[in-house]
Amino acid sequence: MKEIKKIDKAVKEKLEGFSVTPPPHIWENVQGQLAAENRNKRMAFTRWIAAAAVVLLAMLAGWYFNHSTQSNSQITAQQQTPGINTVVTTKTRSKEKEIQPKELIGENTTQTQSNKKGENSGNSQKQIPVLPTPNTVAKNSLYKEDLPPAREKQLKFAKINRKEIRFNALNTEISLAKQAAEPNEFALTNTDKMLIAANVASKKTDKFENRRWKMGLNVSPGYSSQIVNHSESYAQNMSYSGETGNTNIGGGFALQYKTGKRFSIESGVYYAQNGQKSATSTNLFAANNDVGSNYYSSNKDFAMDAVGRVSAPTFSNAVNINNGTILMNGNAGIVALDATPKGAEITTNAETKSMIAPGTMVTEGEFSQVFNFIEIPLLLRFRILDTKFGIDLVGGINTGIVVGNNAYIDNNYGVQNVGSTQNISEVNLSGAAGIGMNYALGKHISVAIEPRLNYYFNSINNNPEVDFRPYRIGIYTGVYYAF
Amino acid sequence: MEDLKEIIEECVAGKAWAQAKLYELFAPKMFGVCLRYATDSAEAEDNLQEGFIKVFKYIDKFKHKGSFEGWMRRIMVNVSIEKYRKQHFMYPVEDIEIYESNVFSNDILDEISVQELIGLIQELPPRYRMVFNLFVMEGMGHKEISKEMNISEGTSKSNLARAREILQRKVKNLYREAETK
Repeated sequence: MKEIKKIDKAVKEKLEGFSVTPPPHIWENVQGQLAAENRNKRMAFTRWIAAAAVVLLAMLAGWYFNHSTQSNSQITAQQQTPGINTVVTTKTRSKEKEIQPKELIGENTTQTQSNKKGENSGNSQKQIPVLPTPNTVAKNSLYKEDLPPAREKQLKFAKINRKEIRFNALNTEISLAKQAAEPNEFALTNTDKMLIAANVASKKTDKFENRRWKMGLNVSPGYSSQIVNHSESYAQNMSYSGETGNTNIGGGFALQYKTGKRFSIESGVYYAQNGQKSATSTNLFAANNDVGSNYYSSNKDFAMDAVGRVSAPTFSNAVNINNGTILMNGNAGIVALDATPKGAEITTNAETKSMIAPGTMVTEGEFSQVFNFIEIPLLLRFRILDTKFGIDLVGGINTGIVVGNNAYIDNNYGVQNVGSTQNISEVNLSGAAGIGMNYALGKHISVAIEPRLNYYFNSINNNPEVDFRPYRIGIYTGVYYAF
Repeated sequence: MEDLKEIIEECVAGKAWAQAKLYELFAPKMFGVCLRYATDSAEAEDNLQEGFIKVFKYIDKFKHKGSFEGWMRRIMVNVSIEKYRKQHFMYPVEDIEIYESNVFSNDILDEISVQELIGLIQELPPRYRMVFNLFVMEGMGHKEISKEMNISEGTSKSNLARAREILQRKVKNLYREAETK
């Protein structure tokens, strides 16, 4: 063993202080790379900031919308019609026959019974300069060429070696060629070669570009509102303003297919909600000696001003009672109420001899008409920034199927499902546009946040008196998997 | 060496002149180290480049304890090992056999030049070369080598023995060829 160690010692002694001046281009490369890395560091920093901002925004949005939708949970209250109302009803019924229903609810009212509500939904001794060498084969020979002339013996080595090197030059793969020079000991077996070839091949094919499909799950907190127009006669009998929008949460499944370098198409199934609430306003009808006013004066929860008028949010609207069904002109269309909602009162104007509104429903709280949609989008995506952090422009159409049609009254009895809106068409078409931002977490997984506007081209209500076109701005936040 | 400390501190501050000076001081020696570990000069150049980038990147981590040259050298060796791992991950595990070596005389080694010796080391199969370098030049034990290379201690020992044997034979061949000519 001692003898063996000799070689170690000899080699170490010989090579210890060995140093060669590297070719000048290396320093240039080092400088260049250092500069590039400084840039990357800055880039990485901004990327992290961007990613953090996206996550924070999504969390905030989720929290905010979730918070405000909680009150929207559908509590269907069992309805009991108070005794007074039945009396009122009978009174009005006799009158009703004399009044033309047209005047009250518009032309369509008489046929509107059919539509019932749907589901809810270092430094060295010697330095030998080496010239910059373009290829490796030549390099091996260089060591021989720079020999001091005194060593003649070694020049012979050099010649022998060069022959060997030339032989090597015929082989393209240097390392393999060297192995081949000693075939007895180091030849690779065929299986190994195949393994290596397979590895190299799979390395080449395993590129991001090849993953054309992407699927994702989204949640989309959003705000929905509408563009609405009513005919004059309809508006006359709608005495509340329904301009407030609605915050809600939607979501769904998306599937994308890359058709080109920058284009991809997307479809999926989404759930979305559209609806509006009555704007909170003081009750115009609550005159001093009105029923509504009396109701509030008896309710100690609400503050009254000096004149005894109520400042609590109230909802009041004209109603028409027809064969036990209460019809009312809502913002999104005529609402058929199954019964008088809890905490609401219907007064009849019989005594006032007014012919326009045979009744007024008064309640504190808010009235809302909510539609639940299953949406099937067909979207075209154009990638304007194709890096780890990507930006897409999105546009397309959306088929919205109404699966839920409900009207709610939210008062101190909770949220009551009071009926449904009539004349709502089941299938509607909407346009969609948005800007998608996504960040690749790995080869397969990416996260995305995408503000998108969905706007219904046509009124979703068949009633010519009502032009109700809802829109929704949602922040689609989700995780995508590419395959 | 007071000088070197100053250069290092300026490198930490990101001064370009200091980086250039440091490179000028150590590049030849480090290139020597890289050449021992590489299959050829091109690979050694790549490793040297990568190594220096690491040196500048992590120079603030150097605590001025122990030699700076040793620290730098360790980086070069690590880069070389890393490169080996990447390139040879699919090579099969070598057979574990201890080869008995022939008697070797120092004189023969004296006859050949440093360049020739480097050339012979470069011609060693990659893992033999790695193990031989780590053991002989870096003074590592088999235990340490087995960890670095992710091989068994037995493999490390047998690889070292094989490396020695091949080197000896090659040196002899060179010598013999020279004599017969």
